Amino acid sequence: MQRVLIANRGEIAVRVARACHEVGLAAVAVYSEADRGAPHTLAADAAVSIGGAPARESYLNVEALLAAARLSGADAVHPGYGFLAESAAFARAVEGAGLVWIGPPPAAIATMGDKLAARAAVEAARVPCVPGTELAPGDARAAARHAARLGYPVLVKAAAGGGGKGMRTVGSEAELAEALAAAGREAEAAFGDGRVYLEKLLVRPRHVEVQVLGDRHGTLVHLGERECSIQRRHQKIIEETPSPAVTARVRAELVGAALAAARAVGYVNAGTVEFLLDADGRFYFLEMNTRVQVEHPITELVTGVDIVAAQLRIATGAPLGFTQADVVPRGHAIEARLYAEDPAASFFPSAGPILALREPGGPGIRVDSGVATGSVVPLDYDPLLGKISAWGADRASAAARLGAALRETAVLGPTTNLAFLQDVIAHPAFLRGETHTGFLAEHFPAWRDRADDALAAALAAAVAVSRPVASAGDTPAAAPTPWETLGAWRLGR
Amino acid sequence: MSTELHLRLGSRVLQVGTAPDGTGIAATVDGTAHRVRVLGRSGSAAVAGASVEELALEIDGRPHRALVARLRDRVLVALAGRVYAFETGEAVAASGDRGGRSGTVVAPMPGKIVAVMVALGDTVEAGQPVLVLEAMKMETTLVAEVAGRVTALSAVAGTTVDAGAVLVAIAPPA
Repeated sequence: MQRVLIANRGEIAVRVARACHEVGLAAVAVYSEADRGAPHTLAADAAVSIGGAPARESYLNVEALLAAARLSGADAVHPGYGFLAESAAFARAVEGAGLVWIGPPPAAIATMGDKLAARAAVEAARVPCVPGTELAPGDARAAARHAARLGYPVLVKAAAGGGGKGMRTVGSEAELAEALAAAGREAEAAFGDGRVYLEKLLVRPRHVEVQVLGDRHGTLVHLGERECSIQRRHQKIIEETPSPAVTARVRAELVGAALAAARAVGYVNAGTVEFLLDADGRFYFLEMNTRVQVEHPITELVTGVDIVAAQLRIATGAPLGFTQADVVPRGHAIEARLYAEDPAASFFPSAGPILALREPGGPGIRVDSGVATGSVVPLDYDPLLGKISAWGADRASAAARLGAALRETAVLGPTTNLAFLQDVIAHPAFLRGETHTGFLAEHFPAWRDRADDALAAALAAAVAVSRPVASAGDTPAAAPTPWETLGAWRLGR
Repeated sequence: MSTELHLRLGSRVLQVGTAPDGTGIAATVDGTAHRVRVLGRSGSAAVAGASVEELALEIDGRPHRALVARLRDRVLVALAGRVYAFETGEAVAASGDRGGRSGTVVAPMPGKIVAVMVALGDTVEAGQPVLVLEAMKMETTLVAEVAGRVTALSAVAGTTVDAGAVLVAIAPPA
């Protein structure tokens, strides 16, 4: 294995390219028409165009990706997360083309990728699951019956799902039909599989997950847990490790269950077993993500293990190189995901050119970024710009460092959630560790930027305007770009 | 040279005056005087049709670091972890404060309409969902900002719309 094709974009493609270079491998980037010249293409040793802006034509296009691997002489493929990372068919196609697949065995992806098969597999390994049931398509009456038996509220989920897509909370029977239809549509669009199932919705649960790493020689270790309860639209925005709610006793049971779930499917490489944890310390298997996780940096910060480098090493067939006893977590780490989205307008995605960018620094701060000044945030993909993580000796110092780092950060162009992230981690309930998956709905139901420094900002604007623009030739033309007009539209709510 | 500027931030309009004064700037915001000194300005550049620069300012004795991007009708200021999107231009000065809610439902960005929940002539409540728009693989429900009757409806399920497209018009009861 010498040359790795990174079948992804954005910050994770940059992250994987860095890991390749660290271990002496060449990295090949791919890009769609929307990503020409994007930072991830500049981080690699070569970049190959793979098709149109819609993901279907490029980052989800198996043929184009395999052709790019052939063209560039790559002998391995790292899928990152999202896109085809959890496609067993893609993993098989990569192996079928004689390339090394940097991920788990395709059979493990297939089992864990089907929520129902995954439940069956882990239940057989005595891992507790949330009560739930599969739904026959189109049978609304049966769905209502099942929902009543589980007791409202219930959750409608995509059988093929992940990342919160195709997921709906249903509070009563009146909302059930519309939720089933919407979840089915979203699941069909996102995964090409509209099957959904029902699950009992736990009240104020925490989302806690365990990172595992296994090699082909039978070594399987865990790297402790992460808590990712702060979510909007069922997608995480703040993650931390360790969880403020996990006691030593619960941790021992939790990591044991995670390792059992991974063993149940013959897991190899990096993966994450997700659980819901209730107020009494009971936990339930949610799903296993058979890939590197967005929030892997915080685990790297506290354990010192480079998870992506380990993925590369494992894929070559080498032993993991360390044992469970070598994993000694230290301190606390918190990650904030910087998204181009408007927290004051239902977190609606934003897009357009990055006009100016300032990234934070200082002790314990790590930035994983996929954008640069002048790069364009396309409409076509998930609007994650980057991740800012902070390490501290304890939770309070990690939170303080992260707050200061976010305050230091600046993004001009698309609307971002930067100010919102700061308000969330400064909230007294967050600082007390009272986090649960309904945290944002409970504490931030109608967030508005406080605009604390409007006076100073207005004076800065006035100073900037009081002199001629930088270059008359580059001033905007009479017709505004879509980006310029975006700010004037407001979501109706 | 002294300047006078109207900056709209959400529903607020700030009236900012600046005039050179010795080594600094004598400024007023909504009639209140402030003392501003420019400690440094750098990185002035044109990016994607915007004029961008970094400013180091002292305002009433306190230091501030700001990134500023000037667009045709807007000035964006990043300061202390927050972004202030000021609307400028003559329309701002003329219109004054805009506290009201809109009777139109507008596509906040390009996307595909997946469902339309109202029909022409329907009576809707404020906050009532009127259509579902899909963009960036996420579905978002757009709601009526005001109560009233649907007087125009251009949204058709399955079609793609541009940012700013007016999809539904709602007339409040007379």
